[in-house]
Amino acid sequence: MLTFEPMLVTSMPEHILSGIKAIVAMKLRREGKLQKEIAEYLNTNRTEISHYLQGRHPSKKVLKVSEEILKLPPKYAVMIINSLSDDKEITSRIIKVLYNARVEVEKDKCIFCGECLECPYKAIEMDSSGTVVVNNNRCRICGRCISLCPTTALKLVFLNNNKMGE
Amino acid sequence: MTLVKKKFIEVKKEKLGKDFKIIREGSVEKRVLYWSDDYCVGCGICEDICPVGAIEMGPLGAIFKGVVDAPKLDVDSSKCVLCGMCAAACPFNAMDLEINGSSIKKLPQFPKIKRDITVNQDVCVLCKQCEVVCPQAAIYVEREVPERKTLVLGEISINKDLCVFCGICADYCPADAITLVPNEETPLSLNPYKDIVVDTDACVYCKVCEKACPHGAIEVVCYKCPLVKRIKTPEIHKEIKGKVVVDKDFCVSCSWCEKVCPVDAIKVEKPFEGKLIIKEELCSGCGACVAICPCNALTFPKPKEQGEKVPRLVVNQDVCILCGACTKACPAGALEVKRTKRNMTDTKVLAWKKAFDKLLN
Repeated sequence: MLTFEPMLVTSMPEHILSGIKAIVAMKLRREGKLQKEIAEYLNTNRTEISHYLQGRHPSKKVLKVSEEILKLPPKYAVMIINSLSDDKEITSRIIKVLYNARVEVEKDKCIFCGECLECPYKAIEMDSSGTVVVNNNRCRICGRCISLCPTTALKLVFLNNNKMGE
Repeated sequence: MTLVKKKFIEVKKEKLGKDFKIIREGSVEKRVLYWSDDYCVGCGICEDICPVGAIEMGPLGAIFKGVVDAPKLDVDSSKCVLCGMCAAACPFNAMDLEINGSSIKKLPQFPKIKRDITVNQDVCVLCKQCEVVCPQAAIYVEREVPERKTLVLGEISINKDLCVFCGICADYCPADAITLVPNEETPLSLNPYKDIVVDTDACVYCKVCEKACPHGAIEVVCYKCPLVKRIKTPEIHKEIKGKVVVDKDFCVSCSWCEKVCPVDAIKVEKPFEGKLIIKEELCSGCGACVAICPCNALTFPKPKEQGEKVPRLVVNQDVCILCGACTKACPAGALEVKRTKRNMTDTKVLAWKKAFDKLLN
């Protein structure tokens, strides 16, 4: 029978989050961002970013798992990333760098049940013509509205699919 | 594995007897779904149209046969998304959804099943046939006719000196207009009756009492009789006043009234067009369909003579509204509605249109 040490289990999501943050930091560095800018974007300090970029932290094992997660179809990878932290600001920033994703409404499927309108970030609203629209500036891509939609009218759309995507 | 969806706002369900309401009150909008058992006919259209499968019908056959006392349906509030499709599709006012206080049946962007009944009061002859046949007691005739005493005029007098209070006249009177007034039972009043009175509102001056009286105490004159004197009395067909009242909350637009109206004063718009199919070989004759049918459209025919072959179950397609209640109640699946056309207000919302299309086959 498999047994886990409690300490390991509780800290595992944080390790994976660090791994994914490291991958994001490397991607941003390749795009020409400065360490300072990356640190600000990921809401951490420059030392941490420097560790990420030089491969001192997190461990190779953690990085391997994180890479595997990002190889999944984006739909599922996003679900995992969202589950890693309650800080939706940081998870949404990570998702935006990795996938350039956004939530869109398929108007023909929408039945106006209003379930999604109570989005905690007020990112979904009814416009003057009575259609449901997503405010991408406010959306944290937490994915809750997508799972709530009874007719799958809400979808996560990936704009530029890089190699990590489908 | 079942995925537990955590909703943004939890919904509340309030029960009041069999009725219930489901409330979702958020910062953006407040939605309330109402359901009333009294108005529900158990057609199950809501169950068919619900996009999340939150509605489950009760044991309809047993409920309508009076075996079980239970609500006709239940909505699982954990599944319900309060989209209001059930309310918009319900043809019988049993369900309603309010969005910020306004009923979905009145919001123009959503479709609803149309049905209507109109009565042309000008041509109606107030015959009350519709009132008698209505299976939901949703139509009644308020009729005022002239008093009987204005139609027959005459005079009647009883000579109390000759009258022996035998009561023979009262026995004969076809209008029950003659009454013997009993005396108080004391030794001071020996006679059992103290008076005889005629109700002139009821008397039609037919002279039966005059002929019947063995003592010649009664004298009757009828002014209408040709031998006496012609007197004008009201022409009844011109004097009948009234109107037909339809209780649209309970009307199911079965069109029984339209079919029996002798002057075609009633027009009924039905919710669906199509056919009800009976698979006789599957029917066990339990009677659930006959009990549930809101239109009294189904019946088990009885043979007129012994040995005559009759079908097990028959439907009158003219008064069937294809609501599908019988198909939900039938335990053997012996009934099927084939709806070819639905009477619905137009909508631009494609998802709703598609959902309403599911009601057709």
